[in-house]
Amino acid sequence: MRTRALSPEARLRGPTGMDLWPLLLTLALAGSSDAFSGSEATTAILGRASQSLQRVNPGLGTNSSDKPTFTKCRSPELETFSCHWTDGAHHSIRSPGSVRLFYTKRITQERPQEWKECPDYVSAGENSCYFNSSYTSIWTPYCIKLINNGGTVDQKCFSVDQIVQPDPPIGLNWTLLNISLTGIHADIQVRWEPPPNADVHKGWIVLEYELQYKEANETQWKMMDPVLSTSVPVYSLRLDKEYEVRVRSRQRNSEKYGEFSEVLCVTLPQMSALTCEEDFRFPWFLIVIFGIFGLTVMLFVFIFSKQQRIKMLILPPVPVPKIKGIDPDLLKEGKLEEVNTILAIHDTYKPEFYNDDSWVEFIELDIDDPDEKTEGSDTDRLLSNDHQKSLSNLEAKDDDSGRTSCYEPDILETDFDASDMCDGTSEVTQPQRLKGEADLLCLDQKNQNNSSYHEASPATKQPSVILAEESKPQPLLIGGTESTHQAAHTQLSNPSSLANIDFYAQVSDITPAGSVVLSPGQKNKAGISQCDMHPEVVSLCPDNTYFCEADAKKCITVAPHMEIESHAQPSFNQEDTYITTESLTSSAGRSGTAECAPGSEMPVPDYTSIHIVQSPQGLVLNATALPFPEKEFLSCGYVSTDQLNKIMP
Amino acid sequence: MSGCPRGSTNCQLSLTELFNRAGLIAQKFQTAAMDLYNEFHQQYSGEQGFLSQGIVPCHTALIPSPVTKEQAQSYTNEQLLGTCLSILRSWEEPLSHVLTEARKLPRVSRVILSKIEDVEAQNMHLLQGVQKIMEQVRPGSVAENQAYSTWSGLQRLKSTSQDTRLHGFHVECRCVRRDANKVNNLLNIVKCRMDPSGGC
Repeated sequence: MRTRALSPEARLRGPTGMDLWPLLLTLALAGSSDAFSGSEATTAILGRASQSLQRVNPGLGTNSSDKPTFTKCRSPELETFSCHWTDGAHHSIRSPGSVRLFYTKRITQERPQEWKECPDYVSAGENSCYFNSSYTSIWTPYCIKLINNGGTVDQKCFSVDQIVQPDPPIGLNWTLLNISLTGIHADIQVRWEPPPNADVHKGWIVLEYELQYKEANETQWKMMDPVLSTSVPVYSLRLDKEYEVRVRSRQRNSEKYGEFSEVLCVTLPQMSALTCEEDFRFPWFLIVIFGIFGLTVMLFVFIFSKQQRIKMLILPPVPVPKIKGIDPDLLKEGKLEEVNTILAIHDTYKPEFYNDDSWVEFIELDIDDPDEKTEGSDTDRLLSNDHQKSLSNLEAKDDDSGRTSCYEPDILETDFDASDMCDGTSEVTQPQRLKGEADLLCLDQKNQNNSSYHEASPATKQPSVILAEESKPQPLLIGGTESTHQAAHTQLSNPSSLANIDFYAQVSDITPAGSVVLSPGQKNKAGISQCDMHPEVVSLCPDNTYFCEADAKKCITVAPHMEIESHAQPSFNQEDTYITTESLTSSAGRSGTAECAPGSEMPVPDYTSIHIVQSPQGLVLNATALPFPEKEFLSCGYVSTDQLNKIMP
Repeated sequence: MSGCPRGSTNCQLSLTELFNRAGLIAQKFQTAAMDLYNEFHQQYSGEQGFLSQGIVPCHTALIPSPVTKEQAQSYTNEQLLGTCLSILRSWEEPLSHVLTEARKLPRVSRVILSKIEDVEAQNMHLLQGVQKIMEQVRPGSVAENQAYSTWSGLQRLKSTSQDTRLHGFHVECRCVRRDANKVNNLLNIVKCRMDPSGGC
C-alpha cells in the first residue's frame, strides 16, 4: 500500500473525528486502487487526499505549533521597523486578520500603559506590522503582543536600536587595479553604495560592510574583514578565472548582518599570449625523487663498503647482553640443564621448573682427614682423569666466571660419563671459587678451608672434615629445607682414597633403585646420608653438622662412623647455595647406610651409593658400592633432572 | 592622528581631532556596554526570574534627547553635545555603585567585574572628551549645571531578593547599553555636521 508518509509534525487537532472520515476514506481508496490501477490514478487520489488533509488541517507541514508567534522584528535604517509573526493553524478557518498586534511604549513608569493596535498590517507583508517613522522612537522600549480571539498568544519587548538589520548594499562594481608582472594575477577594487534607505551621510547610522568572493565554480565563499568604507580592494585574483563577489552590511557595533547584495560577476581580462602558462610550482616531486635516489646510493655504498670504520660509524654494532657464566650457545640450543646448573651457581637461582620431588640436593663434603688422606693419590687420580671435562659442560665460554674447576669452556656435553670426574686441578682452585661463587661442587681436596656447611648446625668439629669456613654462611642443604629452591647439584667427584682426604667422590652410576654408585674408591666409605636437617635428629646426632632425615637411628648406629661421617657433614661452601653430594667424597667411613655420621676418624669410603633419593631435601646414601648402574651419570657433582627422575622409583 | 607636541602647554587640538578622538572613545564605550550586557546575560541566563519583572525605564529617560532622526536633526550641536554630557554625567555615580554591588553577586565572574570597570572608565573618558569639545564649541557652557538624572536604582541593587537584585543589574546593563548607543550616535551626527568628509 503506497501512501504518502505524513509529516511527523502533522498534528491532527481541532477537527473532530467526523472530519477525519473523508481523509481515511480517501486513503483507503488510494490504497485499494493501487492494487488495481496504475500509478497515475494512485497519484491523483493521493493528491486529492493530501488536499483534503490540508483543508482539514491547514497548518499541516507548515507550522508545528497552532499558535501565532513572533518571528522577527527588524529595523533597516533606524527609522522604521516591522514585526512579523507566524500564522497559527486556524488561520484559514477564521477571517484573515484575526490575529492582532498591540504595542506600547514604556516611556516612564508613571504613565499608564496603553496598548495601541498596529498601525499598518499591510506594508510589510502578510502576518506583519509595519511601524513608520512617526510611530518609531529610537532608544525607547517597546512591548508588542499578539492577540488572537481576545487572548494574548505572544508578547515581546525590545528597543529599536537593537533590532537594526540594514538592507543590502547596491551598485556593486569593480575596477582593475593592476596586473602582476607574471600576468597571472590581478588586483581589483570593488565598490558599492550603501543601502539607499540608510542615512549614513548625516551620520544617523554608521554601517560596516563585509565582502565575500569566490571563484565562479567554487562553493565556498571567502570572507574579508568588515570595513567601514564602501570600497575595498581584492588582491591576487587569477586572470583566467571568473569570480563572484557579494557584500552585506550591518550597523556598527551590532551583531546581525543584513541580507547579501546581488552577486557581482568579475570577469578578468584574458591573459596575453606572452605570459607564462604555468605558475612556478616548486618541484617537490623532483626533489623527493632525487633525495630518495641519493640516499639509496649512499646506503648501498655504506652497506657494501669494505671499510669497516665507515660501517661502524653508520651501523654500530649493538652490544648484546652478556650473562656471566652462561654460554649463549647453551641458551640457543636449549640446553636447559646446563643453563640451570650454571645459574644455580648464583644465589638467587630457583629452578622452579624442575621437579622438586625428584630433585636431590647434595652436600659437598670436604673431608679433611690428614691422617688418612693422601693428597697426592687423589689428586693424581683426578688429574689423570680425562673425563673431567664433563664438568665443563656446565660452564662454557665464560671467561669471567673464574671457575675453571670442573669446567672447561667450549665443551658441551649432555651425557654424563660415569667416569667423569672433576679435574684435580680444577678441584684445587675450587675452593677459592667456591668462596666467591656458588659453584658446582667439585670438592677441592686441597682446600682445607673449603666451604663449611652451615645450616643451623654447629660448625664441623671433626678435624677430618674439611670445611671451609666461609664468611658468608649460606646454607647448602642436603635436604635442607631452605635449599629446596636451590639447585642442587650433585657433584660426584671421584673420591679419593680414604687415605687421601677425599673431598669428593665420583658417582659412577646411579642404580634404578636410587642408589648412587660411586666410582671405585679405595676404601669403603661410609655412606653419607644427605639428610634433612632436623632438629630432632640433631639431638640424636649432636655432633653432626647435618642430620639424617629418616635414619636417626643410623646416627647412633653409625656412631663409629660418625666422625668420619662428619665429613659427610655437608661441607658446604657457605656461599654455595646448593649441595653437592659431597658426602661421597667424604671419607667418612660410611658403610652404606645413610646416616649422619659425625666426623670420625675412620677412613671413609671413596664413594657412597645413594640409598634413597628422597624428597629434594634428602638423599640417603649407601655406603656400599654397588655395581655400576646404567650410564646416566653425574658429572662434577650435579644430577640432571632426567637422571634423577630415572633414579627415583 | 595629530596631537599636541610633547611638553607643550595650552595646546589646543583641533575640533576635528577632538571629534575623532571622542568618536573613538564613544565606540569603545558602546562596545564595552554591549559586552557587559551580553556577559551578564550569559552568566545569569539560568535565572530568568528577573526578566519577567517587566520593562523598567532607565533613569536617563527624562533627559531631553531626540528619539527620531528628524528630531536629532532639529537639535543644534550644542544641544546634542549637552545631551551627551548629561547622559554621561548621569552615569558616573550609578556605574560606581554597580561595580560595588556587582562584587556581591553570587558567582560573579572576574569578566563581568572587569567589563563594568571598562564601561566606567570609558564613560569617564568620554565625558572628559565631550567636555573639551563643548569648551571649544561653546566656551563657558560646561560650567553651567548640566541637568542630569538622579538615580534610584540603588535600592534594587541592594535588595535582599536575588531576583530583584539581578533584575536591577539587568536594568542597569540594558540602560547603559542603550545610552552608549545614543551618545555614540548623537556625537556622530555632530561630527558629520562639522566634517562631512570624514567618513560620513
